[in-house]
Amino acid sequence: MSPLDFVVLIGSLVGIAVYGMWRTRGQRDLNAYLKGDPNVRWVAIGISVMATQASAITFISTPGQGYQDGLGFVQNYFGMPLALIIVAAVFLPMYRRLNVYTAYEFLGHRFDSKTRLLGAALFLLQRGLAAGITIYAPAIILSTMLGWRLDLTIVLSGLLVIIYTVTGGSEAVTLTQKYQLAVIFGGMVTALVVLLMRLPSNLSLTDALTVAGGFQKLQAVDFSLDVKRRYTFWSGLLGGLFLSLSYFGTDQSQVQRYISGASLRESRLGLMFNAVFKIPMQFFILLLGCLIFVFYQFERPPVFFNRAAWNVGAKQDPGGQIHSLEQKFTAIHVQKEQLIHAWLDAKHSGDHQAEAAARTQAQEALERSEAVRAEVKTAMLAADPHAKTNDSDYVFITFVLDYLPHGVIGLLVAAFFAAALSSKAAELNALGSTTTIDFYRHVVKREATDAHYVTASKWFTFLWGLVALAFALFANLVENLIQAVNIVGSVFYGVVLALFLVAFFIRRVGGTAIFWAALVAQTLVFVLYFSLSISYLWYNFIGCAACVLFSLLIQAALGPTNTPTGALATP
Amino acid sequence: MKPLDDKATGLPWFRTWRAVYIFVFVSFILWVGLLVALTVTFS
Repeated sequence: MSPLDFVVLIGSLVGIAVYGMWRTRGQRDLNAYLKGDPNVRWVAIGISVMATQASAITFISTPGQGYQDGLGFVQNYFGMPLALIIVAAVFLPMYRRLNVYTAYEFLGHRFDSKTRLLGAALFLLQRGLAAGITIYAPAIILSTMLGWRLDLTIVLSGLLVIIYTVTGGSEAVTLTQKYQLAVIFGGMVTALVVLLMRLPSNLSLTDALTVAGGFQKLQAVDFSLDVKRRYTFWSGLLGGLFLSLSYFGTDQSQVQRYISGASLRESRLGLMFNAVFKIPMQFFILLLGCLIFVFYQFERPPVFFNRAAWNVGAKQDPGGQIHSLEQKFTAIHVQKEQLIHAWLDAKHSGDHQAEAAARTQAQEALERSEAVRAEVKTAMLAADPHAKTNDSDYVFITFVLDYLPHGVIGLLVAAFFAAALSSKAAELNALGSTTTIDFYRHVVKREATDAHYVTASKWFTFLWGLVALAFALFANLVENLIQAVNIVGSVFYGVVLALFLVAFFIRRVGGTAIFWAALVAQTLVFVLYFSLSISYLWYNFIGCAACVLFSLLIQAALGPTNTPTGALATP
Repeated sequence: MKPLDDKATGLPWFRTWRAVYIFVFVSFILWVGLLVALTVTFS
């Protein structure tokens, strides 16, 4: 990175953070600190919800996913519009009617104190464990590629987000997210434009899509009922609906973003903004990855995208096996490029037979080149058994560093960090709020001034920030960290969602029944997790279904309870 | 200007929330349709 890149990077990140702190200085009102600006409009809410969900991994790894597997991953978001409609129509009006600070406060109104504390504790446990990842995951990729010290990258980016989140609370989070998302979109659009300009001059966009499609990268929708396939229309629609409902409806890091609206209308429109734009956004990020794949059909790509790991592997290559594989890879690439040109020439001349033949040969060449890459990974593992051989996360950052002009590189790296900071800020804000409202104010100190609770919330946010930093610094001790956090999430998410679904839709179930049902269901999930070997995503469904069923059975055994009335009566 | 109540969407073409939800659902269907068309055209 050049001095110009550093100016762009530091200027945009620190500038946004300082602006957020300055605009929200002297905050003493609890409502404003925890919920944000009471006059915030739907566009700001929509942007805040989007920026919270889209972490740095979305912008670093998703293009790599498009490069590797094509557009199929977009199906994972098919359940989201429907989930957001349910949240906007059912969850949101209730949260606003009861004027709650946290989603778990609603559980206290609907059921009882112990159920509220259980919901809040499950959230803190799950989100607290995941807290380090939001900083660690992009830091490990960027420090590897840029040669920065990992601990310094984590500490500096972590401290920046802690300072402005503690200082300005929810209002600072929403305010900074607006500008951070502008930096992110500015960076991504610039990368797309530069990429299109760097494609061969005789290659039209239709040709580029033809090449991507010919290599199976544009298979966006798959209606297969095969449960073993990772991304299908049905798993995206049903699984995505389930996960999005849990995330947007019950996770405080999201709930806090949209309950702050000036009115129900503003909050609803903010959610609908996401329901309309999330799928197109993911599609364009994946398409960017597919076009990078096309670009690398005409420019020789590195045989392995994680440059640092490659250098280590290449140094410990006594027999020269890795270097000879690299030469083989280059030879196949040259051959493949000629075949693609022949394929496109045949297509332009209308010779379908020659087109089909050249395309098949090009596909075979790609298979050979992938086989060489697999051999390289095996050789790297033989040289270093701890080598990380999945390099798809490094595809986009490699393209950015190798082909984008200086200044734009700084903008893209700023975009990655802005994405990390925006989701981290919302997470810390939610952890601090839940600890203050559901535990400190509810259990420890019930009567105090707003200023006291604002100070307490600042301390809790700061402490959660330190926990996240500590976890991020020691994260490399845990193998396959992201998967570990996803497993923790799936183990808890189902039961938390069930608490809310029963609260909204099953009026005859009371606090005692749902509390014990949740504990039994959570125990069942733990037992199944340690005794079965099914995909962890299934525990979302199992935990939810078991909790709902147990609550009905326990309530039947306990006898009828008072059905909720007044503000708690669901529509 | 008179403030909007929560039942009004304040949008010129969609005056009820039901209409907004239908619009969101239809835009989702259109996106799926476009993605299916892309899959079929370039595979």
